[in-house]
Amino acid sequence: MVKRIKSPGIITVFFVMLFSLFLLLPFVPLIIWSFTKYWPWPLLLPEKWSMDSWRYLFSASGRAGEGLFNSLIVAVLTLVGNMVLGIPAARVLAQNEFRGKMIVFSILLAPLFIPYTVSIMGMYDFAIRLDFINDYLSVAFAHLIITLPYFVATIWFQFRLIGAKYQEAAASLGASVSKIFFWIEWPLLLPAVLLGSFLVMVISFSQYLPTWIMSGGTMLTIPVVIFPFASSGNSSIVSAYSLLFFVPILVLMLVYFLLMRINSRKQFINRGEDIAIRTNKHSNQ
Amino acid sequence: MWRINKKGYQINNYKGLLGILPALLFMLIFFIGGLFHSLTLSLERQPLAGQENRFWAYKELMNQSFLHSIMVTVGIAAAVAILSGISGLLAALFLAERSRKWKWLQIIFQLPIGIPHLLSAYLLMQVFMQSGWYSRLAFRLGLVDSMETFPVLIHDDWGIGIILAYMWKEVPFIVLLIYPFIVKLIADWKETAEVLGGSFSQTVRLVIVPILLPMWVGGMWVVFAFTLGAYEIPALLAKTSFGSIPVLAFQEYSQFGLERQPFAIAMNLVLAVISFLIGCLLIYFQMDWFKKGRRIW
Repeated sequence: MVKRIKSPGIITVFFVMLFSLFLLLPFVPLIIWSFTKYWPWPLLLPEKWSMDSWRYLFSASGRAGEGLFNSLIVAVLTLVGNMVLGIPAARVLAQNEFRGKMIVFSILLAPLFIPYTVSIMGMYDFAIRLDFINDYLSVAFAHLIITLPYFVATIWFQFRLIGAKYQEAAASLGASVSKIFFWIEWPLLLPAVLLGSFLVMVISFSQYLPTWIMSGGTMLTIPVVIFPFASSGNSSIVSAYSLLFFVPILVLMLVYFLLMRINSRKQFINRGEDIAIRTNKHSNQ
Repeated sequence: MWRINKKGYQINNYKGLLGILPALLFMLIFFIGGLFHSLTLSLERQPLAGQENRFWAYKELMNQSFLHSIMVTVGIAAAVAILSGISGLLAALFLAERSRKWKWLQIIFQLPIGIPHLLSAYLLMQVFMQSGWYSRLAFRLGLVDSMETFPVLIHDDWGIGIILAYMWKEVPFIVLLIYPFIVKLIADWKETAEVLGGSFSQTVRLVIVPILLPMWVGGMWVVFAFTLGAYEIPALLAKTSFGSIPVLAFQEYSQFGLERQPFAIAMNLVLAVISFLIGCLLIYFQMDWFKKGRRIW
């Protein structure tokens, strides 16, 4: 049989190009702005370059270091919370059938579908009544509400792909529940856990309003540091901060790809995944 | 020995369900609990501020300008959800068709996922402003001859800048959500459809979209709910009198003192209720659609 190879129409290519440019071009002036202080209108490139914004960033009043540090702590706490709460929940949802499952699932995913600001305002009132709760912890709780649905959905999907065949086989050979989890499910689950963790960290990094409300405006994470500059329109400093913001995200991306590569080297897992996908295909029909 | 008695089986079954409790309790206590706690907060009397009535916050909301704000906020959210839903579907279809050749496109299309909304607002502000980079490019190309002739896209009357900034973020989100499914569906169904004489567009219209519909609409609902409650983009890109509710509510919450906080909470509650009602409507339509037998899976 002769395969027809269609070439995309000119209009399609045009729109794809346009959309790619729409996504990519805004980064160009951002990078330029961070290296200049003065850039009047019709010039495509500034005439004078300066490093002042970068110097300000790392000066005592710039608070970039503090912002990065706080963001990182909150993100790690959020991630730990997601692991502890999310993985068992996703496992139950994927492997068991019980009455009211849809209701439980929709409660877990509810923050995706209902704006969560009002809940966080209520939580803040809780938190100031229970005075002893640490700021990092309460902000992480707010971020946990926002990120848990994404994490649970990702892990749930992977559990569905894995199916229940191996676990049944292992259980009939006498393996305990923990053994089944650590030796069978965890390795198969790892790609989804990595993807979910990446999403969780990125989402936690980018929260402005929840962080502000939950800490009463006192905790300086990176978005909280950037926002006043962005609304007052100091382009040069905002651009420098934004580029700084990309650093942890790029590092996370690199770590993600690195771990994925290490993970896919292990033959056992590869084979396991193939079988998992194949069995899943059969069960779908 | 091999017979499992019924009771033991049941206990085992319930023990297996324990894993869901922590997450469920967490959501019930903090998300739902926080919601109800907010509700009680918004019903508090404020005798010091002269608000003796329990429902003062809601009474104050009943006016022309707040209704206008609701229309604007819901309208923008709906426009963003529908526009990014459609472009996301088209983009995902295109990527799935030729992802092998154009791998770099996938990377570009997923880039904005990692960028926070605050920065996406700022990025787009910087290029679409009248003194921004695109107007400079247009000047170089001879399209405009002064700053003022470049169209007003940021802080404008219609919220075009807001919609653009949200689309910059949400189209890649929709692509990320439905792309894996489209790849799988094309792999599963394309040959069958071709053997039966269907063209690619027919395969998309009659097979892929119907199967994908619940997920696609769900994705649009997520975008809608997020846009409804998000603060950063309208705060940076809307003109001051635009009246986006999250911005108004946060102003009340953070600037006008403790006794105005119930008012801010009431505003946000209205948004939550709107999103919930629209969700119920969507679920109802989906049930109806399933009942009519369009279910393929």
